[in-house]
Amino acid sequence: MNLKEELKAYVDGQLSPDQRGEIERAAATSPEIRQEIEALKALKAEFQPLTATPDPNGKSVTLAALKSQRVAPRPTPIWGRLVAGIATALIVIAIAPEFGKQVSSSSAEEAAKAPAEWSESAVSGTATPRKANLNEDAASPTFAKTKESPMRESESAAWKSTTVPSGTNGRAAVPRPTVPVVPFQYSRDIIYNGNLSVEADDVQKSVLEATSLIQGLGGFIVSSQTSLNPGSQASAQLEIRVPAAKFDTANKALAKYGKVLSQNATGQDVTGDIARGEGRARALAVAEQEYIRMLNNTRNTTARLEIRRRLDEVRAEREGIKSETSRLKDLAAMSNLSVNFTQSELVRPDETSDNWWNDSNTGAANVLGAIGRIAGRVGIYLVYLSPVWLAGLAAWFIWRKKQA
Amino acid sequence: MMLTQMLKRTQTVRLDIEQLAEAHYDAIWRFCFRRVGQSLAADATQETFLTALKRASSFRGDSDAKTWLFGIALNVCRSAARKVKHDLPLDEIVELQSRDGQPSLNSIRLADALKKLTPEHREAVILHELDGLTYAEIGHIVGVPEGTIKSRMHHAMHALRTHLSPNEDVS
Repeated sequence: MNLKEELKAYVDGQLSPDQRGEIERAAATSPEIRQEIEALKALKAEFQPLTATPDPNGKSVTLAALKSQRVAPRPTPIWGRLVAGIATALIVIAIAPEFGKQVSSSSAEEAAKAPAEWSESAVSGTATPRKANLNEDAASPTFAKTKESPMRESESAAWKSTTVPSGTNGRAAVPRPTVPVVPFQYSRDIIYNGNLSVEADDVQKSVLEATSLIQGLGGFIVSSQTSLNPGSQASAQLEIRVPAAKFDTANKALAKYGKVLSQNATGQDVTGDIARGEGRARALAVAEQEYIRMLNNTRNTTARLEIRRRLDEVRAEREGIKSETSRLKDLAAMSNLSVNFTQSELVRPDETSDNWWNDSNTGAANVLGAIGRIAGRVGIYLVYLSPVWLAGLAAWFIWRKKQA
Repeated sequence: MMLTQMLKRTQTVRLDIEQLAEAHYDAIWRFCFRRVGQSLAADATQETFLTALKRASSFRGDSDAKTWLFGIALNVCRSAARKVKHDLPLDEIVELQSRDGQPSLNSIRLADALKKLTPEHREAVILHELDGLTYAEIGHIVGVPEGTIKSRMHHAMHALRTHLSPNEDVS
């Protein structure tokens, strides 16, 4: 035994009793060894202050992360997979013919139920909590699928479940029924815009009746502007929102208030836009939940900052899409109708007014104004037509002189 | 019978990780603190236990579960230190003393001397002197025989004393 090499182990208490005894015997006879032991002990003592550490933190987070991992399905041991594979193969051999018949003869109603069942199994089978990984892209398969196709989540999950290849890696081939992807029956979302111009006998009355009509149809007046200046043509402009289903009814009813001068209606189908927006919003909601989970499971500051940044981006995008989708839905739910009423006759002064002084003044001023306007017009005509009437006048003078 | 035992073992190991976390979280955190610093210690500790959970079925019981955890923690810390390119936070460890008082000159000199050791020697010294592990446990963690650790400790002490007292003849 190299005694010098063993001295540190002796000081550290890492030797067997026999080895310790040997060292102690040597030290008893050698001052140099005793001195070496003392030096090593002194050096060891110098480490003592460095053993201090701050109070540990993050224990509860780690325990929570472990608990969340506990619910994850554990990988089945190889023997378990073998047993399961053999058992599955036997079951498949036994029931495959009957199973095939059932699948081929299943009714449309049964097929329609399938996606929900498959989506449930698909979700439960893939819900494995994972540790945060910054390399993971938020754009999950679900995300990509919904971006391109406006399928509902259950359909998307069902789709995924049907695309999983069976019988790979030498395992027993478990036939999966081809679940028909039932096209989702969307109600069409169409934004209707209409313009209607009506010459009414009584604009005020028409406005009141139109307001009552629209309210009765479940709509409302967004804005109303009425012009009833005496002496001018009365008019009113109404901006109306009416339920899309009642758009035609409202149009036809308003057209009966007078003579229709012009009428047009346009429609914009936004069904696809809304479906895409909703799909994208759902995918972003999934991504948001994933980021929140990652954030809860991550302690690294840099990683947390990056996750937080991406989470904010996802939230902002989701809010924007939700807002736009909501706007489109709102526009599709309530159609716009712009109605313009004009009165065929000039507005007459109110004859029932008892303010005779003002009425007289107004009347006199109007008459005076009218006389002035007539005089002005006559003057203008005279000036412009002066070559004609001056020539005529000159000819008349000449003819008169000849007569005289 | 064998099947039952295997099932039982799988289940037992899974339960042990949470129990191990309850029992040894602080020790593993301190272990990580000495290698990656305070800012990354909790992160590395969590990663250690999550890795342990994944590898629970591969734990053969050759060493103590705590030693096995330290082994995982060491790998996690090495990986983390590589990513952030940072050395052992010895200065942080020394500065820690200043919270209660001035760090001793000896501690500063000791930390400087530790930095001058080879990585293998420094690792052995820290695992024993600071983490309080035995030579056998250190051998399990770093994957070398106990005798090698004993030798590394001897040479590390010799080097440390040389660095601490350049004029001292310790041969």
